[in-house]
Amino acid sequence: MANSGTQSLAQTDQVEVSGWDENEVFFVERSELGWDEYAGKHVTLTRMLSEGSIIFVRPIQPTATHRANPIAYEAEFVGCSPEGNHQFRLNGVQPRHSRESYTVN
Amino acid sequence: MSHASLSLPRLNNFRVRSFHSIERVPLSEDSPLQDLRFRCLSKRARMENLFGTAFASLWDMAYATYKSVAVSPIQSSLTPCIFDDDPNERDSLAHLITDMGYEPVSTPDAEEALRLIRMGRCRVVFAGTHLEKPDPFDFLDRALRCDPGVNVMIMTAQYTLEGALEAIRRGAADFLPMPLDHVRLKRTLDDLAALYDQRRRVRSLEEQLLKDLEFHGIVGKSPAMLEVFDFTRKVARHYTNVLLVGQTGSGKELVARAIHQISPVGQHRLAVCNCSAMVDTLLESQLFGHVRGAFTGATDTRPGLFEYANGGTVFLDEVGETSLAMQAKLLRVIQNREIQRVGSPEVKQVNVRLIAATNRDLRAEVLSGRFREDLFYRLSSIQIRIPSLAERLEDIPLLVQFFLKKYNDSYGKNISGLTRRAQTVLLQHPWPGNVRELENVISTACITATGDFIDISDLPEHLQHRTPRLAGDEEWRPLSLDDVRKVHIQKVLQMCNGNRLRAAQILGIGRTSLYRYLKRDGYDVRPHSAGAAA
Repeated sequence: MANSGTQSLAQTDQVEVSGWDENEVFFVERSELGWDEYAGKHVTLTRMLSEGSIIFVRPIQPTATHRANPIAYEAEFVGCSPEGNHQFRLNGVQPRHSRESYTVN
Repeated sequence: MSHASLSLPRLNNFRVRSFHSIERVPLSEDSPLQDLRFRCLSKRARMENLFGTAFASLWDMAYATYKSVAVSPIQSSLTPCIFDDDPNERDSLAHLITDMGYEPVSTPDAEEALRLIRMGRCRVVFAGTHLEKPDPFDFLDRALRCDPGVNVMIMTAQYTLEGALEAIRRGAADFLPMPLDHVRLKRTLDDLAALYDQRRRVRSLEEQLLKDLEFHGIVGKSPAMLEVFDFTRKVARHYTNVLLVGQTGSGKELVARAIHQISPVGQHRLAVCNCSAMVDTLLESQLFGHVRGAFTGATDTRPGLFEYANGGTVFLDEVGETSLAMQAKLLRVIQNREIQRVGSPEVKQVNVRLIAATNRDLRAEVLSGRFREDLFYRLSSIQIRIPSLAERLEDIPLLVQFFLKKYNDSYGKNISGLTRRAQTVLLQHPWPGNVRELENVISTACITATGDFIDISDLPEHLQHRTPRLAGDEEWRPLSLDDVRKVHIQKVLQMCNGNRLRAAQILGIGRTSLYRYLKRDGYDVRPHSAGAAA
């Protein structure tokens, strides 16, 4: 089967970022996922987000057999780039759970 | 446990064959279960006198077994909560409800009652209004905030029609005068039990429906989507290029993957390239590959996506965003089935199926000179239009269920669905981001929700306060037809950079008619070298 072979392809850290901007307008942007020890995971977007916004980051993988799922992050504004873009640190989001649960009626 | 499975001892030549006789006793219509309980207990006393305590304990066991089978699973799953600070009233109602075949919980504490509601344990609450509270409806308001679907029955000794209407207006399920009418109470409980049972069955059927209506990861039952699935199945079998047209987030990539999977080359590779995400040089390198030293940073020789997917399929997303130079290179791949790595003179043969997608009107792009006509015709031999979510609102409940299942699994939750008012909000939203936006909304709600149902407060904030409106009407103004025509002609001319011939083609009118309209609207229609319209 052709898929079993491996070929070295140029890999990118391209991601698709979607969510709602500070004007509560839905957006989809392509960006690059960066990582460093100081800022952790971060992305640069052309638009500003509200404080504590949840954004969804989906890796764009040209050779993946399945479409990657979007992962939710809380976006924390870090600063503006010289080009006027906005950089955000991506903080992991933990789903809330109730302390007790009963069988649903 | 069934009756027949009970093994019963022989007592003084009296063999108890079964307890079916209990069921055969004719019962009064007013209160059949109460009547039955009374008859059972009387019979127990008589039997204890005749056969002693051994039979009495056997009788108790039999009665417990009878109760467990006589109370249907529907009834046992409906757990009414009795909230009353009068212990006598509480106990009396608890006994009554137990006799009706339900298993109530009772509490004198409002916080405990609210906790039971919040956790989804009790969906029916009987609240006494003689409680010492400044506002008798305070508990009702708080209960509905905890779970908007809870049925709160307010019991009052001072029944008035105004009070009943006020209670119902504020969301109470019923306003019951004390002393309670047993027949009415039983009918209410039975109706609610039947309603919850019906909802459970509907949920179960919907789950089955979801499995049946899922087409390679795409969910839809609307005629528009069923048409897409059908056409996709037909097209996929033939090795031809396909153009997918639809708004961003409508699911073009999923349809492309489905076409590949069903196609004869489904076992081969699929490569996905988003043409809008990259500058021309990077896009060329990604699609065609490069040789070492072809450009700064090209430290080694690498194949491109066309070589990677040779024998399979290449999906070009947002093909309308490519430059004219890149379009010429793509045309060469389609026409000659050959590629050239960046920096290499060598021409390689490839055999790939191309699926392209765009959210633009490529025909208009061709007319405005931004897209090559020959490439357009090569790509669009088969065109599939994916409807926007606003065009298939009937698919929203199914999609919600699909995403709920997905994110319940991801986040370790057990959310059953959405409250009715949350569903209404979703149906009134215009969905500019289509299915992608809906998925993000459900994902956010699954992160936030702590109960069994997603309510409005779990949705993203802007949806909670949005005034319902119809899609596409935000810029609507009551203009005359002449004004609409004038604005539309100007927009098309702008899109065509002032080229009147192309504008007339897009508008579907002759050039002379366009000149006539422009003249009527007061524009200068004399020919000029720059080709500007007005």
